[in-house]
Amino acid sequence: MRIGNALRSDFPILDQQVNGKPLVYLDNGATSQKPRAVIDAVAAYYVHDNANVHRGLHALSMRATAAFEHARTRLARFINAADPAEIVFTRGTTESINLVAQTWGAANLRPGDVILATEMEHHSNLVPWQMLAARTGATLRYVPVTGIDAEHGLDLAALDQLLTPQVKLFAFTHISNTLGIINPVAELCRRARAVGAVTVVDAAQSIGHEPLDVQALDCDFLVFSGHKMCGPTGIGALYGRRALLDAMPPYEGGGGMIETVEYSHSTWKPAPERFEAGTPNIAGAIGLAAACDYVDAVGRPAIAAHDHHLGALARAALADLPGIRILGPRIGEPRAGMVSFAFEGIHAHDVITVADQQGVALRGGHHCNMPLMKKLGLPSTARASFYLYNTEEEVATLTATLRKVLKFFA
Amino acid sequence: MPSADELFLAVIDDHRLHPRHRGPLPSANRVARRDNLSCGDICTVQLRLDPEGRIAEVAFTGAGCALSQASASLLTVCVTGLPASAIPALYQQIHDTVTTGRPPEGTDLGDLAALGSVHARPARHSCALLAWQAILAAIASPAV
Ligand SMILES: Cc1ncc(COP(=O)(O)O)c(C=O)c1O
Repeated sequence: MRIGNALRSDFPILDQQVNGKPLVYLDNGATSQKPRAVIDAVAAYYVHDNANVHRGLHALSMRATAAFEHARTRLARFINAADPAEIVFTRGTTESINLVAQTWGAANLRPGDVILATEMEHHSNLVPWQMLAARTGATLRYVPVTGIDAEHGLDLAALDQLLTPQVKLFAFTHISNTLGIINPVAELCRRARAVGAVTVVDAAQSIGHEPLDVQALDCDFLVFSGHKMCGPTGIGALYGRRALLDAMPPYEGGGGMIETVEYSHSTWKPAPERFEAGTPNIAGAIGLAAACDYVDAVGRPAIAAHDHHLGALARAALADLPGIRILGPRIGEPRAGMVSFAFEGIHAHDVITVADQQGVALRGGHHCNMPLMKKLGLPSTARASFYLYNTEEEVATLTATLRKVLKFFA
Repeated sequence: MPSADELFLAVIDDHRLHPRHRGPLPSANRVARRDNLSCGDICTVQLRLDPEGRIAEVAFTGAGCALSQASASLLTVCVTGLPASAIPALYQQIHDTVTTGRPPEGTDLGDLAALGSVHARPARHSCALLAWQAILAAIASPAV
């Protein structure tokens, strides 16, 4: 199987020294690195085919349009959407969520309705719902996270009380970017459907890491970013069930989303164009399609197994460090490929600065999850997050580096 | 172990390990707190201005990264005895030192020059400046 060390040479950026040490890139939860195939696909588009899409009748425009629409079809296949028209290109997860909030949400929510989220959501799956609640008079509630280190994940017992018929929308993450917890998406969708709630699945951390099948999950909306799955920044998608998308009002107004325009009014194209006003990120979409090809050539079951293995290895190795507090699943429980931790008396930013001196790239802070950190009583944590090119040796380097940090701040 | 990072020069490390004037100042007549929301650093500066407007005593409390707390400790040593009116100009010099790596031409900041070691890490400038923002606010605040 081609994974870990065997595919590092596909990623040119990994072959460098940082502060005199070989780069150990463990910040994949923030963004992944890009394989040569993706970089080349973007460059080839600009070298050979660049033109605007959907409007031109000349050769380059037709080629660009074909490549852009091929990317949509490729993404649909990547998540097993029934119809490419269910894929709306966006800038990424954040824009996809805001799109649902501003279109579906504004059209469907009334005072007295409930928006349900969870306590482990990233700010981008929390703030748009706060704004929507303020605008519509709906109430925002949260499924609690349980365990002193959030090790028990979502309180599924509390879900029955929370999932009342007033809940119109249930938004939750597939994998927590802070805890490494993997939520039971299909079960959550099933229970939401039983009360008639529409589901929004944040797949930012699972796309490109886990097999994903929107029909098997039976979700209504699913959102993700290309940059976390080997693709370019500035491109991502909203998957929406066809019937829902067709009934939604437009998002932004402009070129590309209209059928007819008169000075007094306009009419809209059907989905997905209705939601894609203006010139889209054509190169990004093409790069993202190449990322789908790359990820699927390695194989998502293999990537998931590799990620989970490194996550478990790191979880177990770090547990031996003095004064450490590790968030999320306990040893032996399922965990995505990441570990967030805090040392007694050492601030996460100091940990990260010293690790950076050793060439090890970690993330630190509140991980865009301020309320959860507050609930757990932590100002911040450091996080190591893994992807398909990381290795067991890098987990060992991480552990050795953290020992140095401890020695330095002893 | 030698310094793991240029950030933790001997001066800063000394203040981190042996903070000066850390704790409450019961005689204080000015106080202000500043928080670094992005990383959870907290710094409260308390000081006593004498009738001539000089900083007679100063102390800090807080929690956070090594840099924010060492910078606060350094501050207490360096501003004691200065007129409060000198603090805004000193703040500007510290700010320039942190952001460029060097004290402005013609100034001698002594140990404070060590704060310039953070300049290559923009995300940490706010850690180094936190206590200085707190003292600026403290001298501008009404007497307590
Ligand atoms: C769980 C989760 N949701 C949403 C986002 C936001 O993604 P983006 O910044 O690409 O829009 C992230 C990115 O960190 C994430 O981890």
